[in-house]
Amino acid sequence: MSKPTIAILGSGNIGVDLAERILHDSEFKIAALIGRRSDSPGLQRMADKGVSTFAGGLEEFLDQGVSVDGFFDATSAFDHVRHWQRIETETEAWAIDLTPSRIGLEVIPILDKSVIQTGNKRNFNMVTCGGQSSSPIVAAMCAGSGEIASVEISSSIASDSAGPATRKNLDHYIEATEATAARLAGAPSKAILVLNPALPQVMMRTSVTIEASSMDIKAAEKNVIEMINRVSADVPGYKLVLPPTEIAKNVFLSTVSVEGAGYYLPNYSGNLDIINAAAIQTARILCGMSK
Amino acid sequence: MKIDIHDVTLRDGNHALRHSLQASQVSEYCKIANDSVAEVIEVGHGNGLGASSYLVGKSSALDYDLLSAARESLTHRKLGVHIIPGFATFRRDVSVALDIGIDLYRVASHVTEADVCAPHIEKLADRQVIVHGVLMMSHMAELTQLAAEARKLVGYGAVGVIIMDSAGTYRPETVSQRVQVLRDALPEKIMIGFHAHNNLGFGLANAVAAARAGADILDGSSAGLGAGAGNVHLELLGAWLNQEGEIRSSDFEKFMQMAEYVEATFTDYLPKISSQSVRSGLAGAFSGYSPQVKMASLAHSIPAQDIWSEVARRKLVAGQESVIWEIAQDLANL
Repeated sequence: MSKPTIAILGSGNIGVDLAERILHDSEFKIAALIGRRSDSPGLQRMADKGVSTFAGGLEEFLDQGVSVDGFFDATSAFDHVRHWQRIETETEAWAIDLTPSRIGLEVIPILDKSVIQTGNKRNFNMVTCGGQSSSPIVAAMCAGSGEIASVEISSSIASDSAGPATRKNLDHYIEATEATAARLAGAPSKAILVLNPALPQVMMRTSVTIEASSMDIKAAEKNVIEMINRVSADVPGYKLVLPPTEIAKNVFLSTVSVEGAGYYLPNYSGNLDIINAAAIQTARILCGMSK
Repeated sequence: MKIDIHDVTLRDGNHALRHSLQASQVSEYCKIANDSVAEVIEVGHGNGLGASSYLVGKSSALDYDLLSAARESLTHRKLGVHIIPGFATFRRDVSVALDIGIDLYRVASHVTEADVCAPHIEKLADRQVIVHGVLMMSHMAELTQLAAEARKLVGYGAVGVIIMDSAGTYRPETVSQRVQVLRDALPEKIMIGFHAHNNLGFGLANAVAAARAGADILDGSSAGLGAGAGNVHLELLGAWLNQEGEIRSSDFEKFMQMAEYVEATFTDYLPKISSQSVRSGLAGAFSGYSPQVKMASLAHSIPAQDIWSEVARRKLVAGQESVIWEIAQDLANL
């Protein structure tokens, strides 16, 4: 079987990190890295590594008539809406959206495999870094608990890892993270994001707090550790720093830290790393390559 | 010297109350404060709108109920709110405040991260309401960056900039220098404010230094009710302003009545300078962490001062309360 081919939209930090990761793992063939500026350092870097690059945007690529199995979109929410109109109508390809557009189905691949496989959808949104890092813990803690009253996700990330788009739209981050947490826990949710400017940069930390009528702490810890082992197969820097702990009556807290794998982005960008890893995991599921 | 007094008793004080403030207490306090010379009465959760959470503390009352109670009682004084992007969203939380009708919106971030305030400040300024920007933990930026972040807030549409000594770590000469730097960096029409905490006992001295260096707004709290060792006491600010001939004796008496209400109503919660607050002040750690440090210290039998030192070493900023549990666990496992 030949490798599935994909194209990456966006030659910024995220797009280039994705490209580096895909080259490294060699599971997919990169048909193109698509940017908007011929002087983009990202395009130059990947062209030097033998990747076909396009500086004229999706339009120029589609004009070539090269068909791909799917697109990763690491541009902006605004551009993704425009891109998807053309991808949906002019191609058979799927799209994995790393922007905050929220027009696709919001998925956590490690938990939503069957939704991705059978949902009859072609556009998948990667939620947020807080969503990807917290959801496995939410699912693991909920599995061993009684009725859940509410769930809360609080994350802190290095200031240097938060790009201008994130900073200008913390509300979007909160709303998207809350929607996924509420879906998984079946209860009201709250999300909080804090940027920490400390140098050397802090690693991303995500805490999940669940208020539940009961929780078997030992079972929850075992679930959480099993889940972390699964996630860390793709994100080696995903680690448990605080096992489920009862911090007040019926209130349980657990925390993970996420260190990036450092393909192109620095190690402290675990928040970006986990989103890119989720995007590739989603593509694997779509291509029937998931283990 | 024209000073606007910004009364944060019912907002920062909610930290000291572990967010147990009730709408009825807001009504009672605001009825007294309505006749005071405090320019603004700020109300809400200690971390502002939408901040009720396990992370920083659940409120006993909804933002809506606290703000409505205040709105009803404050016919002569302005009502203010505190907003931290990352906790509060515009759609869910700020819109509630807009519906109730708030006179002064303060949008706050950690001192180096002013750009996260941009969307909230811009949207509020578009609605023709008064918006100020707040730089929390302001001791964690050098002077040049402090000025640059303050200019950003003004660029988004804030007509005032408040620097907070959230850790209560400043000395009067530091405050003078910082206010002066802001005065030089910002247009004359932009108001500059200072928010003091008492961890090292410099609250009043720092507020006076800020005023003398050109600050237009001083935050204070009746009976000092606030995070950590509390804020500068409003009644002390009132006494000083009266001595300076800035306010009348009857205005000072009103501040005393507000303090008496707080002393009588929240007797068990009045903050004080303690060995713990001195440690957190010296460490430059966020005052609001006190309850979590106490709880984690008890739960893991770890001396609180060891936790404070580690909080400072890791340069935690406001909103990272969950890391305190991790620190306590790590120290316990050493």
